[in-house]
This record gives sequence, C-alpha cells and structure tokens, in this order.
Amino acid sequence: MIDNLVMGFGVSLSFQNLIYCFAGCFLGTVVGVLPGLGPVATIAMLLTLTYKLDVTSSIIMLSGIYYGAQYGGTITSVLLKIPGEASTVVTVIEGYEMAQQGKAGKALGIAAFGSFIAGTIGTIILSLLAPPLSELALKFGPPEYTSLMLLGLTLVIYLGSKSISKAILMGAVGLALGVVGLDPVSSYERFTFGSQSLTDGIDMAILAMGLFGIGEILYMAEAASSRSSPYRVKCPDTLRELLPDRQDWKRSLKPIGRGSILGFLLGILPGGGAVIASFASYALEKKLTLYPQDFGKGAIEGVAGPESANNAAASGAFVPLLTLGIPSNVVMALLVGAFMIHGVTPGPFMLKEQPQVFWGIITSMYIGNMILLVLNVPLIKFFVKIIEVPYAILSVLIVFICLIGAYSIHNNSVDILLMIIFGALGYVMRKFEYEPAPLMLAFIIGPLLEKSLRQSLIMEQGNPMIFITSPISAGLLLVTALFVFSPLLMKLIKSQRAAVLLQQVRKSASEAD
Amino acid sequence: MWSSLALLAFGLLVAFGATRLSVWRGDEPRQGFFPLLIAVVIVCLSLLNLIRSLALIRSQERRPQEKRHWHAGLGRVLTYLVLMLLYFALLDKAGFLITSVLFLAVMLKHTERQTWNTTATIGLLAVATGYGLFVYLLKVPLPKGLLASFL
Repeated sequence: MIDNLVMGFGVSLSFQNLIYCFAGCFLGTVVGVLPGLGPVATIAMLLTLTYKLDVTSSIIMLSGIYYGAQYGGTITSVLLKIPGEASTVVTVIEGYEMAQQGKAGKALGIAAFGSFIAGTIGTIILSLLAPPLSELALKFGPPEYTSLMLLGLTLVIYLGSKSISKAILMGAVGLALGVVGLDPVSSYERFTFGSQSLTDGIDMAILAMGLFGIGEILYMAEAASSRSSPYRVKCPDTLRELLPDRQDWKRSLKPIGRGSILGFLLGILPGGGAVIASFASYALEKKLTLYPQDFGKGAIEGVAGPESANNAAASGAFVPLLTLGIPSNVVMALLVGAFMIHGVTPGPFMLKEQPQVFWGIITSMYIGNMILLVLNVPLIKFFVKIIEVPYAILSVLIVFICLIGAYSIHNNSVDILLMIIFGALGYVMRKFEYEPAPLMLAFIIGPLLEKSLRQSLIMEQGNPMIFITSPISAGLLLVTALFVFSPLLMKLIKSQRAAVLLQQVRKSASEAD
Repeated sequence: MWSSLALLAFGLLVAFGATRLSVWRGDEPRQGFFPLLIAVVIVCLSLLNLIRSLALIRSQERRPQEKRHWHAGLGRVLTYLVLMLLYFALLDKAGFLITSVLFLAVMLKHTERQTWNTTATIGLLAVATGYGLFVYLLKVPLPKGLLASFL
C-alpha cells in the first residue's frame, strides 16, 4: 500500500497535476458559493475541455470541483443564509445563528477544519478499501454486474427523487437515449436515422451541458424577477477570528469524527451522497448532544458534524466508481463519462492495468483537501465578493461557455443545436418536475447494463435464471426488489394496522352501547 | 397530462424502432431486445401517469393558478432560446468573433438590461478570453467566417 501511495503522489505532485488540482478546488469553491450553479453543471461544461487533457489531469480537476463545492457552499450558508449547495442547507440552521451572534468566524473555521479532517479520513479509508474491493469486483461476472447496476439505478431513483414514477420514467428515457448509436455487443447501428453524427451515439458532454447547464439557466432565467437580495452578516476580518478555541474543539471533535464515518458510509451508497449525509449527521448530533438547548440557536456541533459528513461523503462516492466502475450519483456518472472520453474504463481492471491513474486520483484528494483548507481560511472575503456579481451577467457567460464548449467537441455547429434542444428539454423537465439526474445516470450506465445483461443471457442460452443462481446476483436483486416494493409493503402494513384499529374502535363502541 | 402523452408517444416510437430490429434469435437476445424492454417500461408508466392525470382533472383538483405560473417568465426563456438558435445559425457563416460579440451584446444589453459600459466590458473580455482559451490554449479551430482573410 505504501508503494502505491508513493507512486500515486509521484503522479499527483507533478506540476501539471498540482495546477489542475488547484484549478478544480478553486472552481469548485466558486461554484459552491454560487447558488443555482452546482458541481454537476460545472463539470458538464468543463467536460469539453478535458478532451484536450490527459485522463489523470482531467479526473483530478473534475474531482476537485466536486469536493471543493462542498466547502464553498458553507460560506454562503453561514454569512448570507443562502445554502450554496443542497448539502449545506442544514448548515444554515446553526451556522447563520452563530454568525448573528458574532461567531461567523468560528462557524466558518470549524467547518473548514472539520471538512479537511473528514475529507482526509475519507480519503484514507478509500485508500484502504479500494484494493480489496477491486479484488472482490474481479469475481464479478456479467450477471453480478447487471444486478449491481440495476441496484445502483434503483437506489438513485428511490433515495434521491421526490416522485418515484417520474424518476423511473426519466431513468428509462436515459436508457433509451443511451441506445442510440452502435449496439455494444454486435456493433449494429440503432436509431441513427441514417445520420453519420449519431453513429457514435449522443455525446455525453452535449447531453450534460444541455440538461444541467442550459436547462438550469433557462429555469433560473424564468425566475429572475423573483430573486430576493440575501441577508448579510459581518464577514470575519482576520485569520484569528476564524480559528476555533479550545471549547469549540472540545464540542466539535466527536461530531467531526462521527460525521466523517457516517458521511463516508452514506457516500458509498448510490443515491446517498453529501445531501443525505449532512442531514443524517445533523439528526445524529441533535440526538447525542450534551447541549440540546443550543440546537436551533447556534450549536457548533450542528455545523461541525454535517460539514464533516458532506465532505466525507464526497470521498465515499469514489469507492463504487474506482473499484467497481459504477457511479453512485450524477457527478460520478459524469466522471465515468470523462474516463470513457479518454478510453479508460473505471473499475477493478483500472487498478491492475493503470495503477498510476488510480492512485494518482486518490492521492490528489489528499492534496486537494489541503489546498481547500488553505484557500478557504484566508480567502473567504474574496469568495463572498463573487456572490455580488449579478446573476444576469453570470447566466449569460455560462450560456456563452456552453455554446463554445459544445462546438469545440467535434468542431461541428450541429452539436450546438443538439445542446440547445437538450437544454429546452431540461427546462421543460424541471417545469413538469421531472428530475434530470436519473436520466443522466441511466444514459451513462445504460450501454454497460445492456452489455452485461445480454452477455449473461448469451452465457446461459437465453435462460434468465442465471441472475438467481449466482448468489451475489441473487442477493443484489433481493435488495433491489425490497426497495422497489417497499412503498407498496408500507402501504399494506399501514392499511392492515388501520383495519385492526378500526375493528378495536368498533368493538369498544359496541361494548359501550 | 401532456408530459405523460409526450412520454407515451416517445415510448411507442422506441418500441416501433426496436421491433424493426431483430429482438431475439435462437438462444440470444439481439440488438432490439434492450430497447424493447425499455419501451415497455416507458409505455406502461406513461399510461399509468396519464390515467392518474385524467382522474385528477376529473376530480377537479387542478388549481387555475398553475396555468398562469406556467406562462409567467416564458418570454425570457424564449428570448434565450431564440438568441442561442441565432448563434448556431450564424456561427459558421459570420465566424466566432462577430457572432459572439453580437450575441453577448444583445443578451447583456437587451435581455439582461445591463449598461453599455458593462455590456462592452464583459462582452469584449468574454470574447477575448474565450478566443484565447480555445484557439491558443486548447487549439480548437473556431470558425473565422467573414474575418477569414484577416485572421
């Protein structure tokens, strides 16, 4: 393991990769500060740039944007009562209260240090877990992969979506869009309508920029007039104001530890991730605190725990990506796309065949967490200034970047038209409350899912029992079925309980008569 | 209701396309198998949603305010879309520099109501940065269009 880390640091500490790591962390923090523009849209826009970079540098930069955004979202949550990211919503509750009591510096400081500790713990666990998990994944054949991808899709749909039927529909549409182009098994052309451009399928970067970049901008453009000006508290002036004191550390260390472990475990789960981790950590700290009277009024545990959890979850999300090649959320799905742009398939074989890429990415996360601590502690005033840039200007610039970015993929202006169409689709989807995340995830893993499904059936001469006879596959399918049928089961249990209660009430009423 | 109908139509289209391919041969699923499976899921769920929507309409639970909310702000969205489509239409003919300057000028001044100073500063800075980044750093040959003989 030490040899692997040394090799990894050799890759990540190169001047080029340090620059890209810094760029990713800086951009991620900026993106985290800006409400409405998340890491998904930013990564989607920057995918086109990564065509020109090597695979390690691309993933290092894009990963930096992802975990950097968790830091950035905290700044606006504490100072402006605006959560920069969904995963920092819960920080508003305690963080803004602390800021109103003149403790903004302590809130930001403990969030930055807690995030650094949690991110580092998460990366250490990732370094330890990745090799044995990759070994286990080598035992996975097509049936196991099919069931695992099905479970992953199901969890993303059930855990991360408001309307399950709409999310399933979007997942199915994503799978359908993934079918365009060459069949992954027999290379037969499908749904290309004779177009040469569609032979390679719909470009993932175009779809991502359209749905998440342009779609989001159109949706925000519609709501432009109703945007209210943010609350504001005094920004910390000196570094000293940002340093937590002994009492703050005493109250925060255990929440940071718990948040790190909880966040990492929830980050591994498809559909889990930073948002659920931060809420779960807040709920846990509220239950375990020795100072329950402080919660809702500026409890530092309510900042330390969730902020640690969301950063640890960002590390945890890399586990299924790097070891199994399965994305656990939309950002990871975009990273799968970035890998594929460079002809690299993430997963257990990457560890064996391209260990320098694998360990380079993991070690860059150690470096990234240090860069983020250095960036966030003294540069808070700069990041707060960014939110003063009128959204009107930002939205125009984002559209402009997307337009050039779309053209630059194949030097073809038809890609711009496709992106605009997907952008309009993304806007309409948001209006009708259909989430684009399941669509994107399904689009990216669709070809992999189809390949392993058909290979499994070919192996068993068309007999679907192969998915049950394999113990790993059967176990994964059982968990999937539990999630699929759990709403129905809950309804049944509730209606049975209601029927029993009604019977009891009728009985006591008749006895009273 | 309309979204369910659109998805139902999409599902039927995919099913039609899938059946024109070979679905199964002997013991093997063929290239039409997976698309047909997906199409069945889309059609079934869309029908379910459609039935639910129709039941909702019939029970008169729809609030009239929802329609007004749908149209408010649509003008800005359409403006953005039209300007982006014009960018696409002009890019190859007029070239990156001219098209981008025009696009940013109209977007910032007309759509987002910025001052001429802001429009000129942001617009020129954005075009210059975009040109430098894509042409010199990333070596992407952006179209020269009408300025081909000068660049």
